[in-house]
Amino acid sequence: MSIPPPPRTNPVGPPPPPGAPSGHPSIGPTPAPPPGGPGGATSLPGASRPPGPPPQFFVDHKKGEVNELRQLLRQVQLDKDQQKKRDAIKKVIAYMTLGIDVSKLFSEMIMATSTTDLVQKKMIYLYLANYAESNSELAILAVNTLQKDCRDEDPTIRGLALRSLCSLRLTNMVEYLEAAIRRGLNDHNGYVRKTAVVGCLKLYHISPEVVKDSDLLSILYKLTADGDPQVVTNALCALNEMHTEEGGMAFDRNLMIHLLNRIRYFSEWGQSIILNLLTHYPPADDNERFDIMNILEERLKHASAAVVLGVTKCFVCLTESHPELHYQVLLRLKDPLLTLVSTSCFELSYTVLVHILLLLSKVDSLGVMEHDYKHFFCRYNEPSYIKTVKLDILKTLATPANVGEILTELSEYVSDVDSDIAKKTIQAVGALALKIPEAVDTIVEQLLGFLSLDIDYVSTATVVVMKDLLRKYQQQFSRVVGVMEKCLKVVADPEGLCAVLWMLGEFGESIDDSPYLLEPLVERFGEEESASVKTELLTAAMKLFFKRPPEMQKILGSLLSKAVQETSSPDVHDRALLYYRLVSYNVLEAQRIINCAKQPVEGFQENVDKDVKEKLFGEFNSLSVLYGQTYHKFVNTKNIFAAGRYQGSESRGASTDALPEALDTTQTDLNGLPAAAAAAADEEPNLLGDTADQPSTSLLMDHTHVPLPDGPAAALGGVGVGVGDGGDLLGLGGGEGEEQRAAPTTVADSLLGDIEHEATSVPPAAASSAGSAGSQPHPGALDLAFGLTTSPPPAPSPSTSSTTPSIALASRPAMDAPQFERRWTALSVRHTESRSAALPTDTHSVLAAVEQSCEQRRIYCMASGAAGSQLKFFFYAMEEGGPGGGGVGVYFFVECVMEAGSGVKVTVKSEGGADKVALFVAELWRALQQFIGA
Amino acid sequence: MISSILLINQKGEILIHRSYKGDVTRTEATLFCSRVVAAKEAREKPILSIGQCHFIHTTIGDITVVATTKSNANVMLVLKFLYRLVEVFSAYFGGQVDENAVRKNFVLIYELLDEIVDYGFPQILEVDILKKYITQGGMKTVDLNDEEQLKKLTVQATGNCSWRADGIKYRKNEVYIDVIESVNVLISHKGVVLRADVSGQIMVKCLLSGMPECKFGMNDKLVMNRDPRKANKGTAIAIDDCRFHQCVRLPKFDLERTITFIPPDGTFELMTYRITENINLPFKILPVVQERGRTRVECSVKVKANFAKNIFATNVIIKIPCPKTTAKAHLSNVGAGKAKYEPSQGGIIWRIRRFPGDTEYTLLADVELASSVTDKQWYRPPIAMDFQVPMFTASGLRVRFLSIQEKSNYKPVKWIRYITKAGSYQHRI
Repeated sequence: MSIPPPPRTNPVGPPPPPGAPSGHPSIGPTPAPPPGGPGGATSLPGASRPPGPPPQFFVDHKKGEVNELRQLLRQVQLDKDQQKKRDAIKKVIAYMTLGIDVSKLFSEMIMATSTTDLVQKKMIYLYLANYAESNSELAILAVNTLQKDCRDEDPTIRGLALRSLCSLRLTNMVEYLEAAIRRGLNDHNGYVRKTAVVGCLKLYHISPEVVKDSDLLSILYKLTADGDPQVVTNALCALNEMHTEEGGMAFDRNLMIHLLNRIRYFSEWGQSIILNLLTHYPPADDNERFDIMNILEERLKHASAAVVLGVTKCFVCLTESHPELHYQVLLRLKDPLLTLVSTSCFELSYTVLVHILLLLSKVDSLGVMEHDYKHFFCRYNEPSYIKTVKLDILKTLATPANVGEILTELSEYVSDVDSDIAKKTIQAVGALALKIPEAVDTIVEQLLGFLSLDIDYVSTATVVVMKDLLRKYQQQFSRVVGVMEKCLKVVADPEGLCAVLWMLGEFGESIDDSPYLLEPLVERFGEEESASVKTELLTAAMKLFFKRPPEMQKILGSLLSKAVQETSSPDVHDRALLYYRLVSYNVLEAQRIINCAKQPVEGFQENVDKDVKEKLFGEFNSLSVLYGQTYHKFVNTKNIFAAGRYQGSESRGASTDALPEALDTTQTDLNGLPAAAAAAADEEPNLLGDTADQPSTSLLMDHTHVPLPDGPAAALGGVGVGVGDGGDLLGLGGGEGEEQRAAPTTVADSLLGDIEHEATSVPPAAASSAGSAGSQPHPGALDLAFGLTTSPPPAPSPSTSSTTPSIALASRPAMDAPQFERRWTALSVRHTESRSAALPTDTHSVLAAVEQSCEQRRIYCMASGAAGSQLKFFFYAMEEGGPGGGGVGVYFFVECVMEAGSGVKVTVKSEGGADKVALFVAELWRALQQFIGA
Repeated sequence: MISSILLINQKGEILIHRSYKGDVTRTEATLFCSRVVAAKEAREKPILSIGQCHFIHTTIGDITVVATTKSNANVMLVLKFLYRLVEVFSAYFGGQVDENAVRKNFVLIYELLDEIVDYGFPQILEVDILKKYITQGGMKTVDLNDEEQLKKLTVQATGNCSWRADGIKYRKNEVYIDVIESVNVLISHKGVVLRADVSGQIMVKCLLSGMPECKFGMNDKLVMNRDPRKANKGTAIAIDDCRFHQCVRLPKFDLERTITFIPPDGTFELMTYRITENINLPFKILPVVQERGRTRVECSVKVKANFAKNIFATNVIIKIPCPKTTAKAHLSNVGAGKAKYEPSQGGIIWRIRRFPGDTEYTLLADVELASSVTDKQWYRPPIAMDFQVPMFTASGLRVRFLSIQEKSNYKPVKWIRYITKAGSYQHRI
């Protein structure tokens, strides 16, 4: 291969002198340095430019600039003036930094590669690495020089050339690469070897087969015993990354011993990488476990936080199955970790704090830091993200013994400048009360104190917390009674107002003027914007009605009529109707439902379930801990043929296409999971009474699927029917309760009258449903239709759309990659079937289409990828009623291979019975329908 | 591990973008710039993800240094790496890492980034060794045609004693030891010490020839108690936790409690430690703050020096916070130094150049408040202090010996300095 000679003459005319002001205001406005002067970085034309306007304003000039540079480069080559040439190349790099596309200069830069000047060489190689991909044809011209440099006698140049050669990421250069890497791996110089090792990994990403099918892997394994620590570190990193699919590189005893004995010779980066990998080695027995820990202990004295946290990870993993040992280990780790917390680097401190919080999440680990709680007191000038974690830790560490001091400290933060911190503090105080019953008295006192601060967000947060407290400690209400009126005044936002309303409804009997506190709110009902406040007001008024019937009758009447007319929020409207019908059906029954005795809530469900925490221990010292999510949630593990995306530019484009889609699924996962736990949090038997947490239509929704019950005993389902038959049932319903019928019922009768009266005057839209109460034979149906239109449409379930026997699959069953893999390997094949395929040629659009089509049928994709013309998918699905749904659900696992030529082949594995598998297979084919040929 | 490294200025413009793996695009980086760096109201979490891309960043002056990744990276490693990166930059730029320096040295930065990281894995981060691979900048360069010299440096870059080169010669052999302690104190408004700790640092500047073997000792409890003769000689210090420079032989410390090492050339941090017991707080603050009605706040702040008469603190700054609505502050009875209300600092700044031991000064301030419409409560931030007390250690730590042995058997000159500084010294009011 030869390099074309530089053009002898310049066709465009005399170019401007190099370095002269070029007319580009953002680059080189200063007079050029004397040519050939003692240049270097300081006299660089592009470097000393002031922070000018951003370059995009000069789009028009850009082309001219690049052309000018091109001429400059050509001319400089004639000049043979190294200093000028350096400056010109620097200018190219400067443009590149600014984000200007200088790829047009590729051929000029290629020509310059033959230089002997190392300064130029480095810059040119940097340029090549950046633009080689878009100029793969031309880049091949540089290979000659690079290869030559790989054989240079100077190891620095050998290393540099090898690194650059591998960084070009060109598929058409694999052959040159492999030879150069092999030579590099056997180089006598450590610097070259370490570069070659990383080169191997780069090669692997360009073409995995070349590495896998050769002896390069075994050479790498040999290099883990190299004398040079950096070579070893790189070899470990490379091997580990090549084995990502198998969950990292395998670690045997010899390697482990070798590394442990030499760990102190490694740099801090090498040490932390080794420590991270050590967790891959399962100790054979307890003796070995102790040996490893003894060797690692001295590492805790290392100056690097990364090493200390690496050791922590090892210790935690090694003692996971030994609770006793685990505790001792944590005691040993405590001091180093606390030291890290007190560093002045906030980012570092934050990371350690999050890890400490995770360590403390194991109940039996709390004792470790119980007495060190003062370390987590916030400093005034700390950023909010640190304060937030510290609050969480303080909350976790509180015990009856130290709760007093922690509370005093927390009350300091309520006046924090950041209102978020203030809110979180109040929530923490509330959480302490729920956690430590002994402290409730003090805490209520303190909460009342917060109210007197008269800061609106503080009051709101306080009221919300108070409401939660009262759900557990009902007896505390007597102390709060006095401030209820004040609460209503200070609380501004809907959340706080809801909380106050809930308390009014719940404890209305002990507040003297409770009806009159509600009254103004009812009067201003129309002005209220928040639907949740309106719903809460309805519920509160309803509850209070049963407690203070004479005073509330009028208020409730006017409220109900206002709420029935309410058209903007279907929730409020439906709720009002429901109450109205309930009361008109049977007041006693209504009272039983709405005002039933509540059991104090013992504990509130945690947002994050224990399983995730357990898993996070395995992913210690990684992003997972900081996000509180296992890595499957945020790292794209979807593509099993991960390497495929590096094959040529075509497939690369496809992988970026697939990205947003992958992103979507991840995000739904992130949101989806904890929500289920939160929804289950409320275990009160009273479905209607308490809606402070979820004022939703879920209740109505449920009934759309349930056949209407015929007995009046099923109070809820019976509402529609009962109201339909109007007055009869109202009379009948009392039964033996007739003589016990108390004041409320009679009141209810008159109330009913009020409402009927009001109902006639409501606008037609609302009247049709409200008025229907008396006239239509089966208003339930209408009601249901109403419910349907207002609630989000239920996901299309295959069971409803098809009349043939089919299987009901669960929406988004829990499954992650390791679990999938385990179960896939454990189960035997239940069904295989092939059909002919009808696939478009563009395989990448098919990938997404197939996944989407299956997902609509609740068959979810675990992984997918394309290898050549072959598409491969792994799906999973679960029968409805599985874990989370109460019953025993059966999982189905599918491997599906599609190829335009040979058809679609599915392999199904499951632990379910034959009939279920058959049903599932039928469902699966329905999902794949559009991809199957006739 | 690391997909790319970015340097971003305060306006959110990318100054340097070095991509290692090609999986994070410039567009994704720009997204981070606009969302996080340019929007500076709230200090964002240092680790966050936008889409599929994860950003780990730290801010130094007007520069934000960012590492991006798409894998489940080792956060602490990346964070430490970023700090070290900044250290390397500052060594090359002569101390200051700011936008100007970055713009001036961009070619050098690219060259550094090329050697420091390869395909996302940290490689060489020792400034001394990097010098020999880097062609740019004012640092001395090695003659690349001198085969002997080159061999030596590549061996050194990857050898066992990576921190010290062979054949260092000084005409005068000297060692300087600096014991630097920062006191972190938080005192409640009732005067109760909520937490107090000292984080110390022993810096050594080593100008020694050859391969000196050093042994270092201090009045640490663990060491002192081992030696019965010295057990009752002076007070021993209980160190909660200590960490050493990589040159210290850790196994030997674990077994014999002796600190032995071959030092790197030049300045390095020999050890850091943390002490929480028996801390002598150098200053005691006695504040009385009273809000008299809505428009006046009266403060009296008494500061007492709790160290020996013969030493003195320098550059003492006491920041007494005032409400935002402060109109005027009448300062009377300023015992020493100068005090002034500085609205930009949000309070009265009281500066005392020289504060002798065992004395106390008082400041009386009468703060007038402008009446405002929003009658919000004053948050009362804590009084903060800044100071330096030379020849004093809050923990009482003392260096007992430093013995140096070298083949050529020279007698080095040893110097030692102690200084106590304020870390976060806060007194709530």
